[in-house]
Amino acid sequence: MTAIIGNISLIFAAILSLYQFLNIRNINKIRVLNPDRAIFLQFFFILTAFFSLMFAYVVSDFSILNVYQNSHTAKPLLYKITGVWGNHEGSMLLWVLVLVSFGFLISKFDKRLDLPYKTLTLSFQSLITFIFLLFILLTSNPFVVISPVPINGQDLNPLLQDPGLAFHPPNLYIGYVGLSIVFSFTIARFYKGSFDASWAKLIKPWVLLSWSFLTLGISLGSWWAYYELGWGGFWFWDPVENASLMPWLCATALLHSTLVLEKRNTLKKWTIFLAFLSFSFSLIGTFLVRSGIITSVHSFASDPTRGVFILMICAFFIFSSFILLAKKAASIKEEKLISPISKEGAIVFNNLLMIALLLTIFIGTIYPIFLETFTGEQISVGPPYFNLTSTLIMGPAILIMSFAPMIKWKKDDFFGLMSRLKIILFLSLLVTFIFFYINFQGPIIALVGIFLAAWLFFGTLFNFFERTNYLKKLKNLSKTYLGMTVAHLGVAIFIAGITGSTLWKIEKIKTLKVGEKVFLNNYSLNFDKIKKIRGKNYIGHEAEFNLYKKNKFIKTLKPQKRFYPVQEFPTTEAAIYSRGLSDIYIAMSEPVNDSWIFRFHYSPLTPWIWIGSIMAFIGGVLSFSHRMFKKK
Amino acid sequence: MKYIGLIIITIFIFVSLFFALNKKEQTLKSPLLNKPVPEINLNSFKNGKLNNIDFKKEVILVNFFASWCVPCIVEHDFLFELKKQKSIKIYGINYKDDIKNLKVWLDKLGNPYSKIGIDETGITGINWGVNGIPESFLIDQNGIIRHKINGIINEKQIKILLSKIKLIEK
Repeated sequence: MTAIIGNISLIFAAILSLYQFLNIRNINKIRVLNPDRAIFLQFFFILTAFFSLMFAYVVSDFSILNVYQNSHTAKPLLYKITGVWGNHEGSMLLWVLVLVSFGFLISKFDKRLDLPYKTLTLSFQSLITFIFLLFILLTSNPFVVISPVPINGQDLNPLLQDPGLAFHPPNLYIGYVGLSIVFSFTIARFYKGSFDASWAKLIKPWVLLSWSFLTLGISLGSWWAYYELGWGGFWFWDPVENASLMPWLCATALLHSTLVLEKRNTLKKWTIFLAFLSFSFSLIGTFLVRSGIITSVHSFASDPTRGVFILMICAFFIFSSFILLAKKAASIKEEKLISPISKEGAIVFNNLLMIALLLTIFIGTIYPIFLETFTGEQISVGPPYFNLTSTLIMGPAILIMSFAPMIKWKKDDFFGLMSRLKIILFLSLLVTFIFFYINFQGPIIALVGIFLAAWLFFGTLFNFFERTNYLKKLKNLSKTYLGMTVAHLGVAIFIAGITGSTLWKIEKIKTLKVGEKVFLNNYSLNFDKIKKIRGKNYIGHEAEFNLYKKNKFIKTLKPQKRFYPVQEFPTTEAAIYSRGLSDIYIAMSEPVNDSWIFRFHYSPLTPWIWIGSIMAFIGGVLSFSHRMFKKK
Repeated sequence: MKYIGLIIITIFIFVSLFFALNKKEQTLKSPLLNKPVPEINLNSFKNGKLNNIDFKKEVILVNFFASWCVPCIVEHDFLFELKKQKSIKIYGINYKDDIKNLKVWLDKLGNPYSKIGIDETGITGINWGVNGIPESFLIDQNGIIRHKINGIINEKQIKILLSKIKLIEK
């Protein structure tokens, strides 16, 4: 029954989306089914399909193949629900749900659009929906039934049974797929209206929203990797991580170039290019993750026909959009030249750095695939390549980012600017010396990282003080500006976080018996006991460590090693003591005779990575809400 | 025509990704395909041994299973179905199991196996490159692995198996 409802809803939604797209020419005529209603019905049917699947998971309906393969009666309710998108078919359904939700959102809430333009935009959005629904129905239908009905399911990959990861895909998808609406807005503009400041104003909030959720989604994934995978790191330059970082970089560039278009009515072609590129990279990201072309924790059972299908979807959208741009490029007039010492100059420079980094990461990600295809040799491009290139490219970008908001539009006075930077330089150097002074030894590059973080922090703060006339004019401060400030401060804190976490980390791997002790920086950890634990769908061991700082008891830490019998899969639950400035991290490994192997980390400033990311998210949402809901 | 270089690069990337996908499909198959059976030396469920000598002269299906494995219950009926359609010897490899549970399991569901090897430590599973249970291997009369099935044998897999056996017997 559930399967029938699901299938019928998907088919209805597909027919509606096709109808909506085919009616693209009649944008001025009155139709039986007006665009708003058609979009609402698409949204309604996809939502029905999604909840049907969720219902099947909650009641453990194993007559549906997808539920049988990814669920189990003994699984906690939360993970039954999140199991819906913990597999290929369900996650594609979520993809489409987000896709139609964005269409529904603009049809319902974006009052700034005139009717013909809105209809056009929704038509293109429906085309994307239709193609993805076709993909689901033909290759990845979550409502395939099996008979005889199995007694119990095969359970979800235990690594994915975790709160951090449960909510990572939905957030990431809001970000990824949000870029689709920007894409539809852009395509529609070629047929209605022109690429001027008003267009920039229209797409800006949606870019902001996508960007914010990409930021949140990526950081949730990274947080999960940090405490669940047990390697003590937060970013591994895994191809799937890169697949989410690439649209983020592109959206960041787009965010800033729309600003230039809005204020200076220039950079039109570049902005269109970035809008297309952002969506292209979310498609490419989907391809990399969903086709099974790369092997990682994210890739599930792979069926090559799916990969070919997604590849064709990518090719279709990328080629048609860029050919459209190439054909129409001559008719789009840029109005003004850009002076190098101006806000737009700084933004262009940062845009180029973002795209350079994007290409570097793209090459690093697909190069191993190419090499294996043509030579059969298997290599992996690892952190050394990515760390080096991203540091080299991001360094200058951060330098500029600090004072770019201070520069005036059009043209600014170079020496006047430099004199204002003196105080920021002084403060940043001071902070760097303080860090150097309090014990932190380490490579010189760490000090460069701290300097950059401080430079950005003080630069942003200084600008904030100037703008508000030293906090006297807080009332007429726009939320957009506040959002930018919070986001930029977040980036500064984030940079300090990754610097400390990667360059000052102390790692120890020890084999310990109960009663033994280990020293880490100023801390000591006593291995007090070990006991067996039993959860709803796992068994395992839990160790207890008492954490002392200079003989003063602080906290008991309990790392776990779990084993999920249904999937025959072990997982590591790290224990982390976080005190704002640093983390103490214990991950438990295998037993050796009567002792156990543990991995200990002292990682300074690591919590700042998440604090910074969340600030960036909040900043983005602040600006979005202001742009979306301000009174006219 | 300013963009011709860009277009060529993009096309090149897409074509390469397409080839990469097809290549991936091949590498997903077991590396043991068309190679002789790996080392096997197990105690049999009812006295005797199951070892490499048992893989000569006739076509054999080797099925890794366990009583704790839920999908194996589903698969079990299909093993009987397969034997009904084609008389073929099936060897079971009982993977990391408790012998008492195995006995109860077989009493309840029936025994389609000509011989059962007890892989208590899972070492045979490792030698054969088994990722998960159930998994099955089709072995020809010369002891060469000709086909591998990941997951349960169902109607569709039986059809594939029968056509493979036909091919081998030709």
